[in-house]
Amino acid sequence: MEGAKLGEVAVVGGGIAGIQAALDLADTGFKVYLIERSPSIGGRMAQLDKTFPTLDCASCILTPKMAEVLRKDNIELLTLAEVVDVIKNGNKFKLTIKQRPRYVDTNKCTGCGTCVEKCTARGKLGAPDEFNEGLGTRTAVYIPFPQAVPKKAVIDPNICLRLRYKRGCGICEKVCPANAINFNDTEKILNLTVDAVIVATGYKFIDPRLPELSIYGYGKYPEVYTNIEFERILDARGPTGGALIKKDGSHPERIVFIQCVGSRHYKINPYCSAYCCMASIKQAILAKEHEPRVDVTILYMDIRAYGKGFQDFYNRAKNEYGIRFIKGRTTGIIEDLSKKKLIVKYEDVLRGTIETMETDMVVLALGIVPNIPSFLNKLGIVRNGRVIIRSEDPISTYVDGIFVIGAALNPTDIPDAVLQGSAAAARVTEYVLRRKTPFKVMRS
Amino acid sequence: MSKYEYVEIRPEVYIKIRDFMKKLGADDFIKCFNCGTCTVVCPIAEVLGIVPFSRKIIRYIMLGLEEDLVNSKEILLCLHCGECSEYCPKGANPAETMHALKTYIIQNYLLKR
Repeated sequence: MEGAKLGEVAVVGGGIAGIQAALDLADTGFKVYLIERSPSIGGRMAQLDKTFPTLDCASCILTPKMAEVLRKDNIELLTLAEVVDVIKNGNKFKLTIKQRPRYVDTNKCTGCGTCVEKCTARGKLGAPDEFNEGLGTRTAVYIPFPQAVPKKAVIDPNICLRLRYKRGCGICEKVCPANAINFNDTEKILNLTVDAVIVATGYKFIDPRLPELSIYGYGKYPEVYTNIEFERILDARGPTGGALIKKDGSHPERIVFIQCVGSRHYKINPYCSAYCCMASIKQAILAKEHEPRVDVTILYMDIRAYGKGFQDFYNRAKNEYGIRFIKGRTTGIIEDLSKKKLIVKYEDVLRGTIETMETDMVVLALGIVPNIPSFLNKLGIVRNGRVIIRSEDPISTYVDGIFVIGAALNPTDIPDAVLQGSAAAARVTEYVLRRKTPFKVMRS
Repeated sequence: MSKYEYVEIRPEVYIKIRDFMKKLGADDFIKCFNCGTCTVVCPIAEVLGIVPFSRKIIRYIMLGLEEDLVNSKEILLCLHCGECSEYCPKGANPAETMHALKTYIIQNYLLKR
């Protein structure tokens, strides 16, 4: 396709929303810069095993889109890059991008994985695996996950022995068949001039180690998991190879999901995080499918099944899979050391009784907050950790040409994020063409 | 084994109590959404078997059940330890509400008797 004829657009964030926006814009005929902070695009959706409410495989939807990003000639993918500053100059935006070194030549690397096999910084010398939420370790030179795009190795300078001590090791350089390792790689500052910026920086989880959330004992008891960690346990690519086992290797008899951890709390995040009810129901069903004998209980405040097919999904979980739903909120988890069980105390609100439950695993459905990049703060369109948007248009901000989509705007599920990605692409097309064409374009 | 009974909801009583509480600066209870956190942490609820205290009391105010409210001995038994207010996810301050309700009962019933 003849790229860069219509204009140039920067998409900040390579999650599902950003990928969708980049693909739609590239098809329209824009030159797109897809800027991603981590070594691979894919974002949070790449970590998921299944999606709700259809229980489709998440990577079956995401991976073709990720591969298409590489195939498009007019998408330039910038990984390990962060936008430092955005200056509006007339109708153009000047972006300053800081790109961290990869230490691997992406043109030469074939993604064979020989360096990963031979890397000496592994096990105790390695680092927690970001893709598996710290449940496993990875080596210093690594490929983020099997379906990574671009599927190139990257070296973590914090644990690589050669980069830390400036000498020794260097085994990856010796074994690499393509001669792609370059220890002299340095940080680059890139300057781009674009017509519009789409911000799809996604969300971050509320830290379960906050003092207000210490009652749940995350980090204190080994069998208390966050929901993204539990998702990795259920995933066949995960640290346990898809087996639902505890950290000591035994199978759990009971799993308790605790909803609204960190959301709908006046001290932390007063809003509903929107995704966690359905995510927990999905994980409960998956746990039942992995281990039909396991007893799954969900302690909820309200089940908010608002989307298409969500209520059916909830009913199916309750009636078909026999998952117990209890309206109640726990105020603390204690550990029974002799039985090696966790004890959850809660009030069954619909019955009006205080009950305790022994369980093997506890999964905390963590709330999410938008991940606002610092350049939006400088533009003055952020209040109380949220981006201000125009009332007539739910993705446009008050700076013309900056569009915010996905969970960076508001907690969103995957269908909505894809929808907003396409919507932003259409908005950018309209916005750029309105400035370039001599005709007066009607605007409502 | 139906332990449920029909009750008459009286909004005017709710408004009366709410206004009284507002004067005392204890009208945070309107934020309550009945999650039951206060019941689990309450040191007297389980021991004395008066579950679900203090969610029940706030529910009485919301529905305007003044007689049930006044006959609840739990309000006078409350220790004001503040655990419920500490854990409440909405900041509805149940401990403060119980304190103010004591004043309400004393002013409107015990003194007039």
